[in-house]
This record gives sequence, C-alpha cells and structure tokens, in this order.
Amino acid sequence: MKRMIQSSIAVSIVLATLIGGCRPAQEQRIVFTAKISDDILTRAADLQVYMLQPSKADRSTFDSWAKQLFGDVRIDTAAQIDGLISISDPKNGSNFMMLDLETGYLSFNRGMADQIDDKPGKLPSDDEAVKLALAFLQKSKFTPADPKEMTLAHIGRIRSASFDPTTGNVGSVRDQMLTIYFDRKLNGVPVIGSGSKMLVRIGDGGQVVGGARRWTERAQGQRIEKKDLRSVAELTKDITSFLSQEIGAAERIEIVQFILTYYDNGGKYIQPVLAYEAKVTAKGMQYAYLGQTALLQSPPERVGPEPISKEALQSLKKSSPELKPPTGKPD
Amino acid sequence: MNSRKYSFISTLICVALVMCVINQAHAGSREIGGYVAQAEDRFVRNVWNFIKNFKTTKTIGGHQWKYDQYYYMEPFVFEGSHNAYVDCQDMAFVSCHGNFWVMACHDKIADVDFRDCPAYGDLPNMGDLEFLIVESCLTIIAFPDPGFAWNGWRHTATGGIFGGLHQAMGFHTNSQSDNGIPQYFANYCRGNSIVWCAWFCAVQEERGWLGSLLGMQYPGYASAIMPQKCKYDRMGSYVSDPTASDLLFSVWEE
Repeated sequence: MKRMIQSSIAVSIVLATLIGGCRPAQEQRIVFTAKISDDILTRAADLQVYMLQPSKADRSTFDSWAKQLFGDVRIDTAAQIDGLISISDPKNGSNFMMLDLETGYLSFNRGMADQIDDKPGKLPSDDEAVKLALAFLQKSKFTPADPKEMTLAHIGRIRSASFDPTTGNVGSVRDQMLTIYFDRKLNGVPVIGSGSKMLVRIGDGGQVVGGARRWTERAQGQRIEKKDLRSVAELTKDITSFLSQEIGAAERIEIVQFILTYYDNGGKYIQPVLAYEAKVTAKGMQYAYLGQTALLQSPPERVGPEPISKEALQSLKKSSPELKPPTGKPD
Repeated sequence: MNSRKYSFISTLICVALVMCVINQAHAGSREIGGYVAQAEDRFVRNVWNFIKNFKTTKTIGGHQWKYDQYYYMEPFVFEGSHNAYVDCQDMAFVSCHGNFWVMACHDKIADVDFRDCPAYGDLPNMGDLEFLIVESCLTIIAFPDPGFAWNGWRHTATGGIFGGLHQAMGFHTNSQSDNGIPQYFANYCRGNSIVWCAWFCAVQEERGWLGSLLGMQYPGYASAIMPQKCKYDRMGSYVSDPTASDLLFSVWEE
C-alpha cells in the first residue's frame, strides 16, 4: 500500500514536471509589440567591441585624490576591504571617499548630510550647475581622454521637507542638491551598465558636495561583422526565456521597445547589446522592466544578472511565527 | 601557600579580563537581517548581494557587523513577531514588490502596511532596529507623493514605525532592481558612510538614461525618512534612539 502511494506520488511529480515544463501559456504571456528588425542588426554590424584599459589605481592614486578633494585629510586612517580603499571623517560621515582599485572607480561626498536642513538654500540654476560640474571635472582631471565621449545626460535634484510633531509645523519643500549626470556615447550610441558614467552633486552656494567617476579609458575598437551577431530568432528566444525565468509570475509581459546600445558592466570590455523595455503586469501591478541581451554570438563578457548563487539559496530560510526573540538586551 | 594564592588571584584577574573583553565585543556587535519576497529570483539576489558582504564580521567604526538572519518574508516578520525578526536586528535589508506604504511578502501587494506596524527600534519594548532598507517600488513614500502623511511614518497609537528607528530608505517611485545597487550600497556602508547617503549615492551611481516607461527613470528615485538627530548616523556610530516627537525629515530625489 505504502509502495503504491509512493509510486502515485512519483507519477504525479513526473506528470506535473512534464506539464509545467511545457508551459503552454508562457509564450502567449510574453508579447512583442516591438519587433527586432533586420535594420537593427544591420546597424549593429557597424558597432565595435572595445577593450578597456586595466586600472592603474593604487594607494598613491587614492592619497593624491584624497588630498585633492579634502585638503589636509588624515589619509593614514583609510581602511581597505576587498580591494576598496575608503576614508570617512570621524566627525562627519558625509565627508567620505572610496576608490575601487580593480576598476579605478571613485566615489566621494563632501558634507552631503549637511545640506539637509530647513533653511532656504541657494542652489545655482541648472545651466550654472552644469558649468560648475564641468569645471570641477576638468580641474580635478576627471574628464575622459576623449572629452567628446562624455555627454550631459540629466539634471536631477534632491529635496527635503520636515515635520515637527511637537508643534505640528510642516516645513517648506527645500531644494538641497542638484545632481549632474554625464554618460558615454561612442559614435552617438549610448553606453549603459555600471560603468561609463560620471556624476557631480552641487549643493548650497554652488559647492561640489559629492560625485562619482565610473569611467575606464578604452583601447581601439574591434569591428564586428553581421555573421558575429545572433539572429532575430535567437534574440527573441533568449529574451523570452530570460523573462519567463525571471518574472515567471507575471500575467503579461509586453516588450514595447528595442534600443541598440553599448554595454559596460565595469569589466574589461564595452560590447554592443540589444536593450529592451517591457511593461509587466503581475498581480494587479504594472511596472517597467529594462533589460538587455547580448548581440554577439560569443560575447566577451556576461550580459545581465548572474544566476542565483547556491550559497544564497542554501542560506535562505522559511520564517516561522514560532521563532522566539533573543533574550539579550537590544543594542 | 603564597604562590598558590598568587596563582588563584592571577587566574581571577585573567577571567575578569576575558569577561570584560567578551562583554565589550558583545556591546559592539551588530546584526544585519535580509528578507526576501517569495515572488521572483531577483529578490533573492538583491538581498544576498548586500548581506554576502557581511558573512564574516566586519569592523566598521566602533561596531562589528555580521549578517544574522536571511529569511523569506511573511507579514509576521514585520508585525506580530517583529521582535524575533526585523526588530532584533540592527539593520534590515528587504527586497520585494511594493506600493506607497506597503510591501508584498508573496501574492498580495499590501501584505504589510507600515502605517499599521509597531514602532521599530523601541528599546523599552525590546526593539533593536536602527536602519531599514526596502528595495521595492514606491514603499518609502515621500512628502510630495499622493497620500503621504507624517503620522503614517511617526509612531502613534494606530501604528507607524518611527518610534526609535533611525533611518528608513528605499524608493518613492517605481523602481527596478537586480543591478549593482546592493553591492554599491554595501561598499559605501563598509567604508562607514552615512547610511542614507550611501543609499542615495548607490541609486545615483546605478542610474541610466534609456527609456522612462510608466514614469520610472531607471532605476527609480530614492527616498528616505529620518529624524533630524539621526541624519549623520552610520554603521560605525549612531546617536541614541530618537523618539516619536523628534523633528522628522523626508528626503527624496526627483
């Protein structure tokens, strides 16, 4: 009897796996409103693969930039963890600088938290802020070897408001910082990913209160040919399979736009990719998804997120309402 | 006899010293919890890509930080059993779908509504949480957003999580995850940056300029809520717990 039950369970599991594996509705849920045209692939064949120059950043680079950005900061207190050197003002954690030795990427803040208050500040106009940001990048020698590659992408702002519970007073909305973003374009084609960007935060009175330089110089490009590219069918299949895996619970995923771009994931290459925008409908929610897939048959580096690590899955536990709180005093 | 006496006294002194060191180490030890919605693979990755940086103890300023919990989300993690989950940690990193005020633990968008949650970090009631990070769409609603209410965040008789909590951060717009944000944020935090500044910087460094579907500028716009006295708080050092009557700030990107 026990064996019969076990056999039935096993058969059920196999059937469920087969039925689930077929996923008959899957492709119908993923709708391509936009099509991958031959024109995109023709234009892609005009793009190149660029090798990035290895980072030359070392401790002396860090010391020199720290002095440049913070003057007489005590650089001997800098800490290094996993290839990142950072320094943080013991009195004000928004005086901060970090250098990634592997990539050469630099991030810093100079009094970012000081900007948040309830007093009317004086931010420069957008045009003036762009000029100040460019002047700062030039003076700091952060601008790229070919300045034409760096283009103004966006002007954002950080705002605040306050509330005093004792009086019920609500403070005015204050513009506290402007963020000037620069991206990279190679022959007019935008580069997306974690690299190829710079930003400068401008605070009260036009002072530079922070920024990031995520930029690696490139070597000569290597031309690609149409035969190096994946076919329309391969690209479509890859996008369908990725979205099914990643957003499997969605009722509908509508791919509404394809954009030919370059991709810099902070590694050793800039490579052409096909970016896409999708509208996802899941459990009453609608949200946007921006994805990218490799255009090359043999991409020099991975495009898109890494698979979930086994360690992550093994460490993740089911929560239970029975779990008792620790007995120690909170800290 | 004398040598025995000295030996006994020396042993006592050594034990006292060891106990003192252990106590100090405990006083400086801080916990990180990671909480994952039971929906998509990317939520698992988002949380792991932050907490994996704290698998071993990291000394940051005056504290030692290590990840202690990594659980699938359920409403009780944030509500009835909060003292056993988010509120027995010093920092909680959550990844899920969301909407204004709310998080989805699995298949309901409003599984958890922060307006109905207990005060976090409420020391007299054994609350411990200082920093809450929610990587989701819209949850950390900011001042200009429709439906914003200060008393939704501030703890009152009906709920609200700010009654000891130092900083909460996330997005006040739609957002997209599965990118570099958790790692950039961890890098800043490990360098002892102010925590909310670390979050805003991580989001800004991920930002890109392709498309703006459904009002989302990739990867979304960051937001934070914090009492004024906590605006300089970081993992290495933070002020004593705020109360529900402290001046509160909403900070957001546009």
